[in-house]
Formats: sequence, C-alpha cells, structure tokens
Amino acid sequence: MADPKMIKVALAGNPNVGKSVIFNNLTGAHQHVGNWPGKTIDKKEGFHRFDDRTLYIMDLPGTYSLTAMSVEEVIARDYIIYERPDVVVNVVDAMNLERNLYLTLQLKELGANVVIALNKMDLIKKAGMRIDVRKLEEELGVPVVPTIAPKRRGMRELVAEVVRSAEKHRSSRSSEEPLSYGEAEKFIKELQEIASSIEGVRKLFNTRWVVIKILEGDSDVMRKLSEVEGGEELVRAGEEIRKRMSGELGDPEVVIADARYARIRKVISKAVGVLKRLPASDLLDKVLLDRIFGIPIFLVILWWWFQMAFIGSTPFCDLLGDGFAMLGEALSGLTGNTVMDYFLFGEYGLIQGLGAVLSFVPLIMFLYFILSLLEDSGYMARVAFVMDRIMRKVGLSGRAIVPMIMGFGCNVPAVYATRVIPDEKDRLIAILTNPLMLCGARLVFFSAIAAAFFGIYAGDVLLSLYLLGIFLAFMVALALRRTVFREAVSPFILEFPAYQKPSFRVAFVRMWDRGSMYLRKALGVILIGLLIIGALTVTDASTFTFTTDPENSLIASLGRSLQPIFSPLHWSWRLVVAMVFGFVAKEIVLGASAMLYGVGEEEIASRMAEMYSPVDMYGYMTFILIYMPCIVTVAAIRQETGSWKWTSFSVVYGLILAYLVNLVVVTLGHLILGW
Amino acid sequence: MPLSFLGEGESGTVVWVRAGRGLTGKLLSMGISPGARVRVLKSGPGPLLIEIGQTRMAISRGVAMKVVVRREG
Repeated sequence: MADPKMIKVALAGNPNVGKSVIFNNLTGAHQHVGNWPGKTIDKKEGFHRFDDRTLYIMDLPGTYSLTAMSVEEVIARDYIIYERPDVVVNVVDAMNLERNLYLTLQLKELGANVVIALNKMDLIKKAGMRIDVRKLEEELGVPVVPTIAPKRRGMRELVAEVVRSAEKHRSSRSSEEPLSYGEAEKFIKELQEIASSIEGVRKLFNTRWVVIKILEGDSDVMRKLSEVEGGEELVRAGEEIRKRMSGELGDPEVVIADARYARIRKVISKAVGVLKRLPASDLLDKVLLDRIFGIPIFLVILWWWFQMAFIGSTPFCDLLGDGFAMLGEALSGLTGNTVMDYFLFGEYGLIQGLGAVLSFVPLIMFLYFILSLLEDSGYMARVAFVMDRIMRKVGLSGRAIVPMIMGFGCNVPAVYATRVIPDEKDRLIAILTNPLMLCGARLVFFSAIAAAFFGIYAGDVLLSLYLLGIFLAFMVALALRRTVFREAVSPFILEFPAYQKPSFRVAFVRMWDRGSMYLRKALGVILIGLLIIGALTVTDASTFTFTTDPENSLIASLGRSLQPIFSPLHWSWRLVVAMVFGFVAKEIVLGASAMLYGVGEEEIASRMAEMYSPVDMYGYMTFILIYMPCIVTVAAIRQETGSWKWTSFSVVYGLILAYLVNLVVVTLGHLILGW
Repeated sequence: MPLSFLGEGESGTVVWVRAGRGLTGKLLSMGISPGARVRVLKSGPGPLLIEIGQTRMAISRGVAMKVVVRREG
C-alpha cells in the first residue's frame, strides 16, 4: 500500500458473532454504508485513528466458510485475494469455537494475516468455562485478543495487535507449516506440483490454496482459473486427481472438511477447559419453540412490539407533521411569486409533502429499535423456525416472517429486510407479496374512514383489512409458486444464536443504520414524485396557467377521464384522483380527498359518509389496501430485485388484484345487503 | 441412518454427509461434519431443532435426510 501510515483491515467472521458491533465500535461515525457492486449486500467501510496510524476497515459479509456457495462468501474471499488487506480480523464466537475456527483455518490457508478477536468472553465466564488464550495462540499460530463487543472491552488491545501484526507482516512474510490433510495430502501434493509449474497460476494465487479448492470442486475458482494462462490445464489435471481421490477416500469435500475439524478438535482439547451448556437457553427454547405455545407467544410479542412502536412514536410523528405544516405556513409569501409559493409551501406543496414522509420516520425508527432488541436477544432466528411450518405451506420461507411484520409498519424497510432470505426466488416472492401488508400510511386513511362509516365496528373493519392483506399475500405467494417459481421453498439450515440480554447501545446503532437508509432513499424519490403531482395540481387544465382551484386542474381532468374505468366500482372522479395521489405516499389519500371536497381533514370522513354507502367505501378501502405500492416502495423493489420486469409486475398485479377484489366486494355487498 | 430418523432427545455421531455440492459445503461449514456429535432437541412437524457442540440450529427435514448418523445411547 502506498501510504505507510494506512493499514488496510478486513473484518471477517460467522454471522451472529458480533462482527458489526466491533465494526461500529472501531469506526463510530467514520463509516460509509453502500452496496457491493451489483449485489444487494451491504458494504460497510470505515476509518479508525490510532496514534499516527489510520486503519481503513472493511466489514466483510458474515460467512461460515470461504467456498463459492453464496454471494457473501465469494465477496469475502475475493476481497482477501485481490485487495490483499494487511490484516484480517477474524471475529470468533468463543462459545462456538469449533464451528468458528473452521473459517479461521480457511482464512489462514488463503494466506491472510489473521488476528482473532475472541468475542463473547463474558458468556464463557458465565457458563463456567475457561479458555487458555495463550494456548489458543500457540496452537493456531495467530494472535488472539479476548473481547466483549457490546461493552467495548478489548477494543484498544485489538487495535494495538492489528498495528503490530501489520508491521510484522510487512517486514517478513513468514511461512509456517500448513495444516496437514492426512491421507488426502498425496493428492494435494501431486496437483500442487502441476500448479507450481504454471507461472500464471503461481503469480496470482497461493498454489496450495488453489489446489485444495480445485479438489473441493469449487466452481468459482475453476472459472477464475480458466481465465489464467495455463489454468485450464490445471483444472483438467485437478478433475482427474479428484476422481481418483474420490474413489479412494470418498467425497473430497467431506474428506477435506473432516481433516480441518480434526485439527480444530485438537486445538480445542488443548486450549479449552470444560465445555458446558447455558441452561437458560434450554428452558427458553422449550417454551418459545413449543409446538403449541410457540405461535401464540410470538403473536403476543408481536402485539407488544406494535403497541410500543405506535404509542411510542405518535408524539414524535405528530410533532414532525405539525412542524412542517407550520414551517410551510410561516414561509409562504417568501418567494413573492404566487405560483412558486403555492408550489413550495402550499397545502400540497413540497414542504408539506416532505413533512408527510418524514412524519413516518419516528415510527420506522421505533419499529427498527425493537426489532434490533429482539434480534440481539436471539429470539428473531427462532421466529423463523416457529413460523416455517405455516409459511412453507403457502410457498414462503420461514424467514419471510420478519419482512412481513416490518411491512405492517412500512413496506420500504420491509423490502430491504428480505435480505435475510438467502435463496433468490424465495426472496423475490417475499418482496412481491410484501406490499399487501397493511402499512402505517394506509392505516392513517383507513382508521379515519372506518370510524366515520362503521362506528363501533371500526376496529373489526380494520382487522378484516389486515387479514385480507395477509390472506392475499399467501394466495399470491402460492400462485407464484405454482406458476413462475415451481421449485419448492429452498431447504434451510438456520443457526440459533445463544440467548443474551440485548444491549440498548447496540440496538440504537443498528436502528440508526437502517433508519437513515430509509430516510436517504425516501427523500430522493419522494421529491421527484411530489414535484410531478404538485405541478399537475396547480396547472389549469384548459389554459395551462396557474390555478389554486383543484377542480379545474390537470389532475382533475385526469381524474375525470379515468373515472369511467372505475364507475363499476361506484367511484367518483375525486376518489380516482385521491387514489392517484396515494401513489406518492398512501397517507396522502386522506388529505387529497379532503382537499378535493374542500373540507378539512377532520371533517372529510363525515362528509364522505353522506355521499357513499358503507359497501362502496369498504370496496374503496380494499382497493387502497391492494393497489400498487407507493413510489418509495416501488423504488425499493426496483433496487432489491434489480429488475424493471419484476418491479412493473408488482405494480400491475397490484392494480388488477385491487380492481377485482373491489368489484367483488361491491357486487356481492349490494347483492346481499340490497343497498 | 439419516439424521431425520433420530427421535427427540436422541443423540448420534455424524458419519457422512451426502448432499449436492452447495448443500454439502454449507452443512460442513456449519459444523455438521463426520465425527460431530448431534443431539435432536425437537423433531415435530416442520424443521428439526438440533444441537452440535454449543450451537443450536434448525434444519429442514429434507436437509436432515442427507446427513448420515450413527445412533448413540
């Protein structure tokens, strides 16, 4: 690296080991979150200053190994091969040494300069276990620093060790005895001889590593070799040796893994005292994963989660909404130009529109905060297990439950939350069905209307809409499984982290991480959407000049021209326009109807009650529930699917389904009730 | 016998893993490898809950069919 004061550090480790907490501890505010090129996997990088040194830290995706099985693993390993970090900090869960060290051995094999952060040392103490850190260093041949990430313990020591290792690594590249693979060794040696004779291969890779990867049948390494001169030849020789090895010892992949675990077990037997289980986990799992009580317990936790989030965030949401409304009023007249003024500060101008979107931020933050607490405690992984049986029946992965729940708050973070689903097809189905979850924005409209039309039954009407959304999501998922994605839900293996007391600090940082991502995305998209709709509202349809009367605006004429399509649903043109407004953000449906009827938001519901029958209004609500996702969600779907095709699909199927359901409700409703 | 045939509370030692390429690697990297001791904590309808060393994990029945174990007392 050019700058001798700059140390390039990569953080590697299994999922659930506290890697991102260590990353946040080290980088604090000096971090940047983006995406790996072309991938929907977070790329986090940041800086840490230590004396006169700067550590440039890259948080690699959490992986169990460095094969080519998942995108995460390829990203992590390509980074180490091609970017050659000075030090790789391998965060290891002290409670799960056996599985964690599997990655450590592979990192070493790859030629990385490894420093181990032995995390969760507090749990070791609690469990009455003992780990001899010196012995562990000796056996593994790498420095080991004990840490307790949520309490920031061991961070200074870790940084000091990283600096020391980086210097040592630069002065001498010592090659120690590599891990021996026993009976497989003769096959490795044979292939390694061929690899060493090929200059192109020798220059680019650590030959021993490449050879082991070929024998493991690593498709990504073989593809990379085919682009190197002489690489094809090596791959062909590898295939032949692999076949022989397979005949003599069995599946080479298993044989090689077996040798690694044998080594790990030896390390553990020397460095670790008694192995014990945390009894608390046993008892909790018995209750929380119970066949009968598991789901009811989850529903209670879910209810509590929403109560907390909605109650806790309401004052903040109101404050923001009112604040922006006041700001808009206070600023009106500032430009001295009526058109500009209305456009920027008017009731449906830019400022108020921003207020509408921003007023959702506190709710989203609360939802995220509680989600982070639940994740940190170890419960969320269990939920996937509890729900898997039901979800699988309708063609969804058990892991889709978290995004679905998030969707009741806001579909935008929910669509991002589908990243927890590893299989692409499972994930796509989860994304496409998510907008059917009744989000907080639609709730704004529904609760006002339901109260006016249905009185004491308002709560039941709302509940029926929630259930309708869930039911339709299941139906759509089933339909997609039957048609486009015929494969069954991918089999799953899901690790359960040990239960622990969640840390408020960690949850807060994670909430901020995710919440600010929502904010950035929403602001960009919403500005454009608001500008377009704003322009349509203030332009007179016949003269194309400025108007403050929405009745004559372009948007009204758009509504009138679209109205015939919706007359079977008994909509007036005003409802059509309100629906169109809802595309920007669905809570606007309420405000837009108020504006179109020329009354305040408080009176709109009772005004509408005079004009529409409850059946027609219920039908309209089902339409608003189902029709295309709001503009910010559409942007999120586009980003996460990486495909315009699927994005348009989600818009189109939503519209069609909404129309059909609305039609059925209205037709049957009038038929049965005779109104 | 396959891991999925172990009853609730029973233990076994993994003898071999016989799945497709990707899945084998995934199982191995998560510690389900020859020689590992597995205990089945829950085996109801739906996925199995197993314990390997200190780690608990849920694996679906289809996956558990591909892990060969020897039952132990």
